[in-house]
Amino acid sequence: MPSYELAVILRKMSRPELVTTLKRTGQAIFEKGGIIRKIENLGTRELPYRMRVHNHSHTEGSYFLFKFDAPTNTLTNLHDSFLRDIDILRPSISKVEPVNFPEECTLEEELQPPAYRKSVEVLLKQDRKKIFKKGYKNLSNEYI
Amino acid sequence: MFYNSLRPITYIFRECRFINRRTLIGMKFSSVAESERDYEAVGEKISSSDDMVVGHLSVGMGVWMIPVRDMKNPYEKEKIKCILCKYGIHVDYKNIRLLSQFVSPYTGRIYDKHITGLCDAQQKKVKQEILKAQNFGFMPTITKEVKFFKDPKLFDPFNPKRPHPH
Repeated sequence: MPSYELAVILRKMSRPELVTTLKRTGQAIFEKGGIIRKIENLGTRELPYRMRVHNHSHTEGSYFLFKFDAPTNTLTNLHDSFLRDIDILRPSISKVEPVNFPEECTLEEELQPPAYRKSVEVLLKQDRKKIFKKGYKNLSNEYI
Repeated sequence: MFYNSLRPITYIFRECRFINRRTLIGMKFSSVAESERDYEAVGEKISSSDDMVVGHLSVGMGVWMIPVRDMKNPYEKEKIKCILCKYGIHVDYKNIRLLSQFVSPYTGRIYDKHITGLCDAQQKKVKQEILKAQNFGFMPTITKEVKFFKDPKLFDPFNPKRPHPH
């Protein structure tokens, strides 16, 4: 089971209501055979843009983060169930990526003039191959 | 041991500095010091065709006479790195404050790599994460958030470092 992140925006609610919705989302993950590793509260704040969900426009929301592992084929169903929930404004699941990225900085190579770059070298070789093939075909047509 | 041959030490030292790998291979090696690597370790003499001692080696005597072949070039410049690679910053869609530094306050668009000065991979990553943050409802799409306007600037958009890539 690969690890995923669920960044969820809930509508502005009282504290007990928030708890029930969070429990609901957590249970939905458990029902699909997933494991929750961590739940984080990212705070309630103004939304960056107005969201219109379930025929109501929202300007404020509370942000939460679920870190969980789940089988890959259940993700679409999970996302669907969250979309049907009235209290959730926007559920978004993303894959957790490795932290060490990239291994080496290639800025120095990119700053060099084009003749010294490896990417340009590859392009040149590709062109030469094409030219060679064309020339070969033309020759064969002429002389035979 | 040819102690008398140590007389022109400076000359020998000068000679040693300009010895190539090829010339070393071409020289006569004694039976003990067969390979090049043993040359430094074992105390033996190597003589050139002029019958002059080029490198007289022994443990007690000056090892400084030997040219160090495995040494790195001390005049080599440090590799240029982009800001994110230099400090090892992990770009994430939840870190809106970092991402908004790469967004124009005038148009709300992402600056290109000739302005940001990032390497190819990091620029791609930043672009992906900004789009992710906007779709997930973390970041505004049309403008930069006003509370981040006074953040320190990483680059000057009016004086790009590289020519325009397109």
